[in-house]
Parts: sequence; C-alpha cells; structure tokens
Amino acid sequence: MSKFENNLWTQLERDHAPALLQSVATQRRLRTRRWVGAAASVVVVGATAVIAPVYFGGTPPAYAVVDNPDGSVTLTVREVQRFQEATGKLRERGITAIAVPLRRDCAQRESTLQEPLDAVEFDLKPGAFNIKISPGNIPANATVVLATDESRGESWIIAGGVYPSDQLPACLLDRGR
Amino acid sequence: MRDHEALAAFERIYRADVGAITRFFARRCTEPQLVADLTADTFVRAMTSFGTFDARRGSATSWLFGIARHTFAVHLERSARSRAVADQVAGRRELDRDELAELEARIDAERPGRALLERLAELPELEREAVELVHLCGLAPKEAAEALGVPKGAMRTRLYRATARLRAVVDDEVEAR
Repeated sequence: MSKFENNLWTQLERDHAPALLQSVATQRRLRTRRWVGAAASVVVVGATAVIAPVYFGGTPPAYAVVDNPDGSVTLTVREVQRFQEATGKLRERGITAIAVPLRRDCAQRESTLQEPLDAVEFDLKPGAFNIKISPGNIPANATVVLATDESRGESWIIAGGVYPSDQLPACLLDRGR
Repeated sequence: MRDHEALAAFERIYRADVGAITRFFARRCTEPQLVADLTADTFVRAMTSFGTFDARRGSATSWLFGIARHTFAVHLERSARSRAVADQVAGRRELDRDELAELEARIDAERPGRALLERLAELPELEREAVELVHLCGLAPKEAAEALGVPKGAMRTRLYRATARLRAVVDDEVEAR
C-alpha cells in the first residue's frame, strides 16, 4: 500500500475502531435481542420473537439440518408445513427444542427480556429461514421453543425463545409483523 | 465474530479495496486533498456500518462502492449548497508532501478514465456508472449490480446499451475525422 493508504488506515484504526466494534455488536444484538436468556434460577423467562416474513417458492428440500464444525447446528426451513418435522431433527441431534403453534390469541405472559444468549441466531435468506443453534450456549434445564403458524401460505413468520424446561409454553403469541 | 476478528476482517477489506476507491474519487476530483477526504469519509462510513455488511448478500467491494457513490453524492449536494465541504468530512486529515505527490500522480493516472466518463456524459447516470464500475473499476457485472442496487438482469441490459452507445459515439468521431 502507498504511504497515503497506510497513514489513512492508522488514522481509521485509531479513531474509528470503537465505532466499528459498536456497529458489529449492535447488529449482533438486533439478531438475538428477542431471544431470552434463561438462567437456572430464574423463575419465569419467556418472550416471543417475531421475525421477518419468508416468501418461498417451494424449492426442495423443505428443510435441512447441517452440523457445523464449531459444534453448532443450522436448521434451514423452506416450507412452513414441514416445520414440526424440521424441529424434530434438532432433537435427534440432542438439542432440546420443541415446536409450538404461533397464535394471535395465545395467552402468553409478558416477561422482561434478559441479556441475549448466543444460543440461537436467525438468518433470513430469500425463500428460507436459517436457524443456527449453539447447543453449548443453551443453559442447563432450558429448551429452545420455536413457533410458526403452519396454516400460512406464501408469507410466514417464525418466533421463538429459550425457556425453562419446566415451564414450556403451549403456544407463542403472534404479535404480527 | 469476535472484536479482533471484526477489525481484522475490515482491515483486509480496506487493504484490498482502498486503491480502487481512491481511484474512483481521483476520476471525479482533481484536488488531492478532496480525493483523500472523500476516500477517508467512505471508509469511516464503512467502519461505522460494518455490522450491517453481510457477505452473503454481496461482495465487500460492491458494498464499498455503494458507500463511495453515496459519499460522492453527499459531497455534490453539499457543494451545491456552498457549504464548507472540508469541514463536513468525517475522516479529514491533512496530507503531507509525499501523500500529496502520491495522490497527484494517481489523479494524473486517472486522466483517461476521466476522459471516458466525459464521453459517457450523454448516457443516463446508471448506465454511465455501470460502465465505470465494470470497465474501469474491474467489478464483475454482478458486483456492479449490487453496488448500484439494480437487478443483475437490468445490469446486463444497461451495460449492453451503454457499450452500444459508446461504440456509436466512437464511430461518429472516426467518421468526422
């Protein structure tokens, strides 16, 4: 690099590295902020996260589960009608996860959001949801709860949270988009 | 991504593309200090929004050129309003003699590129930019489409149309001689 380019990098690193790190941290929080951390001692922890809608064109396969080298698992869901089945694949990997209905009339208690865990990350791609789950970051006695409305067609949403295993919700509240 | 990884990732992007971004401004401005300021401003903007960059949605190069275009548009707008441009630039840094000489050489080297842009002046702005990004900056058509925010198919059409018009201009010039 030229002297100008080297000097500019020195200045950028010195003056703007904190802003870069802040930007990365903010985006990380936005991706996971609606996921609720459940410490073992917490009595009630739970929240619904409404994620962006997915529009899909029926491209097979309906879902896929990939074991990542870092121990995490990525679940890709392309068809809402196979959501229960897809979530079941997580349990086969030893991940405590369940699927429940997402309903507008679900009588779910509101709860204060806790610090987000790095246990679950959503990634919206055209035509699919990627849900990356890091089993090592799921607290003991906690379960990943995923929810969707399987009756929806072209446009659908996924919600979810990490809940104490002994207080699992029967449904999650659809708060709309 | 850990903090040090994020900064290292950005540094790699910087080192790979700072030359192309500097040349982008050297084709538009003949003042070395302004080229330096706009280049710096582009990277400051990139650093402060690095969390939003998603490599799965496009290349870092196209992302940076998108920011550079925006930076230059803001500069033009401010210039039109006769405001003190230099004071508005976030990454402003006074150049030393060596850096000035470097940038003067780079501006000089971009003279053919500036001449080509002038010949393309009759084209619609998007077509002109498409030609520049692909033929002068070396972006793949797909990357140029990402930088300009247009569909890939539309980019192909624009490139084809722009090239045909440029050829017609050159033919007219040859005939006139």
